Amino acid sequence: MCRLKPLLILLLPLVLSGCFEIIEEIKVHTDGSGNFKYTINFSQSASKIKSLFLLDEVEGYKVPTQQKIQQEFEKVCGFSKKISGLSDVHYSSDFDHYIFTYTCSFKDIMNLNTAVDSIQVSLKATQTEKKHYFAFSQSPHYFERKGDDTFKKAYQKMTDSQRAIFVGAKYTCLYRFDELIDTSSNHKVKIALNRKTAFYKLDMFSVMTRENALHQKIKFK
Amino acid sequence: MKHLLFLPLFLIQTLTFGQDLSQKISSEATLLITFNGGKIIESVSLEELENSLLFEEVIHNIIRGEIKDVKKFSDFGVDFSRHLYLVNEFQDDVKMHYFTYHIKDLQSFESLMKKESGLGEYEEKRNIKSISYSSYSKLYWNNDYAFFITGDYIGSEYSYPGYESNEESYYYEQKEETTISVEIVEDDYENKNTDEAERKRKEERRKREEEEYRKREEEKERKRREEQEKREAIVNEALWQRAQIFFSDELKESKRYFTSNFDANADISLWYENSPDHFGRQTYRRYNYPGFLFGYFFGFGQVFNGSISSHLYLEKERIRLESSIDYPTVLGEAYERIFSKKLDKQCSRLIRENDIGYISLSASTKDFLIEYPQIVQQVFSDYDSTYQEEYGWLADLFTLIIDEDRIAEVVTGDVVFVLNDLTEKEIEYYGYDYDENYNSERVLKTRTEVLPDFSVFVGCKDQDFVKRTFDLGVKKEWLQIVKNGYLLTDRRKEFPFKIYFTYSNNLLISTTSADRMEAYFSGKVQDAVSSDKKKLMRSNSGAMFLNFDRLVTALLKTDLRSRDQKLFTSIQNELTTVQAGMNYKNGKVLISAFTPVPSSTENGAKYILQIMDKVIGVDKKD
Repeated sequence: MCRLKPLLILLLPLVLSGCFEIIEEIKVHTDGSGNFKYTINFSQSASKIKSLFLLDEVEGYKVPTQQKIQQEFEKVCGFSKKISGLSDVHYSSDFDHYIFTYTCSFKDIMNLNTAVDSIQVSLKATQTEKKHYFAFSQSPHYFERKGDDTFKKAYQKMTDSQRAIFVGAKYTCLYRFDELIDTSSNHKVKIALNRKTAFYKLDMFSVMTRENALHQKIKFK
Repeated sequence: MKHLLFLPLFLIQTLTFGQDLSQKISSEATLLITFNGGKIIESVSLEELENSLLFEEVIHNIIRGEIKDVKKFSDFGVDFSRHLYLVNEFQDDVKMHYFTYHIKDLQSFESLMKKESGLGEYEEKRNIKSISYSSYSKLYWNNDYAFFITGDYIGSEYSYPGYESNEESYYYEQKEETTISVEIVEDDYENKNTDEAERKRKEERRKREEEEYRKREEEKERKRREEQEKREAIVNEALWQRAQIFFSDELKESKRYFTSNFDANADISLWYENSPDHFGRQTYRRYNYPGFLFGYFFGFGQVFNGSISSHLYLEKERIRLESSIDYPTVLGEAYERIFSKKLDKQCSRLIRENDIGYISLSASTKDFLIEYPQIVQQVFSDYDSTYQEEYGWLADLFTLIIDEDRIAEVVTGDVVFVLNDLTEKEIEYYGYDYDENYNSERVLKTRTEVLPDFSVFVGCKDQDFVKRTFDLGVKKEWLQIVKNGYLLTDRRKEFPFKIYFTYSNNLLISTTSADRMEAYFSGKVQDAVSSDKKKLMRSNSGAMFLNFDRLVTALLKTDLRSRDQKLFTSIQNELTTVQAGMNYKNGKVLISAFTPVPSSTENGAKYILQIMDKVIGVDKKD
């Protein structure tokens, strides 16, 4: 958890408004390969974060420098690049609007699971067992976003003021496919007009408190 | 003769305490909160309380419906017309909190407690009845009074922090191994043609690692349980020992610091013993770290590190709070010298009647610089005497280097912060829009943010120094010259508002409005604050005023969330103002604060209940 401090410190000034969003975007091709994009957008709270960088310490946490945050991103990307089956690993950090993006391509959805595990290990954020966040199968033909306790565990260790950060924040899941979607197990998921994208937007608070908040199984026609 | 006059008072006090549970409280207590039930009930009846949303909330939510049969106060069997006490006590290895009160109707009390005995085990030992909810939480009672106590283990031998830090380092070590494990699995996945022997070797290694991990986990769990049991046994025994003392007369004659500060006329009182001598230095560091931190930098932390005694009076026309902070060391005298100065009249002239609030502080810079080395030396000696000699030397060096008179010219020690208003500002940000196929587009959007409109006045008599500082700021392009002042150059757009500076009448002024800066510069402020508020600032070393009504009105004009909007709307007409003054006298800090009770409400107790009911009502409607 201590390695997540740079992120937590960035989040602290949002206590008053809780305005940020996370977008998890995956494109899965018919052969199981695809692209992954993870965006953390603090743009709505940029002015508060800028003020925060003027301080040395907030709630007992040392405020990280932009350089330190860059180093953490470099480290995460360094870990990802070592994983076989993963390519085009990049990150972008926009310190004017505080938008951070991580992208990569994968040969198989299992590579993506390994990438997420490795990122968490590099951040020392979760426990040790290997998890399956995503699954894609040709027969039977489905894509699955499994629920996990990654966020919940982090949430349980937070103080009340840190928890308040997540009130009002949003988490968006965007899953794109070459095939046409038939159904999603989660009735709150919206299917695109062309039936090739599943869209699910929910409160960050739900993600932090419910293990299965992100769970959905998409079946194809 | 004089002594004879005090005799009746002494007898009254002795009798009051003689009948009171305060005699059961140990001198080891560090926090005491008393509720003067009789006085509170005089102001707001039990029936009124029973019909309030607050009562319903306490019964249904805080007690979480566990005591289902309680419909009114009499169902508790507790004597609410007498004092109720909430206490914190520290023992060697156990920190205790207890709540004690008189029993009015033993049958109702026991009937309620035994009916809910499913919550804990009932037992009767040495004429003390008890229900044990856990090793850390017990209720004891006899025919007259009850004693609910909880305890936490704070010793070092089986302490939580030591255990957790071991777990954490061990935990990280495991994660590093997992990285290897994850990559091995991945290699297997990718390289299906790997040699069979190599695959087996890797598989065996993985199994071996998993087995070692499982064993370590089991060992860790065994140790955790063992330590947990030891902690429970220690706390359990400590609570029982404390209960036995409580139900005996053992503490009857012992000296208690808080009794000298006890005020029978207060509705609620708080006493907090906050000194390293009382807590023990290690405990003090652990529980008073923020105070120590400030003390470390400025020595000011010690201002609030004395014993605090506070009394709340819920009167007819106002709610009044009287507090005093008594120092465990000689620092009180030093602070009294520093804060003996009164605020420059010019500061109070610049406050407007429609400003939302202000905080002022007046200290003698010269006295501060003279006393500072001694304060820091004393603060450090209180916590750790290892480097006492070094601190002494540094204190002398500080005295040699500093020119108190010259610095006091530049910084007089008067500081005022004024919250003039709240303003809204359109903030641009990037968000994402989606078409019917959820193709995303990054677009520039706007939202409204609430910002404070404020001013700060700092006393400064050296006009030449200020002018040279401004000139240097302009030369370095930190400042831009504007009419009658300067504007801070914000090239990196770090500030969400503009900041102006000016100098006038021995005050260095910074503010967020150009118009206000000009008004301050000319010294002609329209709608100046009333004389009573000016007096509040001038007659106290520190003062605070907040107009809640104006604050809520300003907040309601902004873009609030629906729940907050409802909340502020519901209490807008209830809120008035609050003001406080702080002075140093006889080595003590004296703080006096009050808020007027609206004429439509009978008294302070009903006023508080009314506001609480409105706040609860908002959530109920939601």
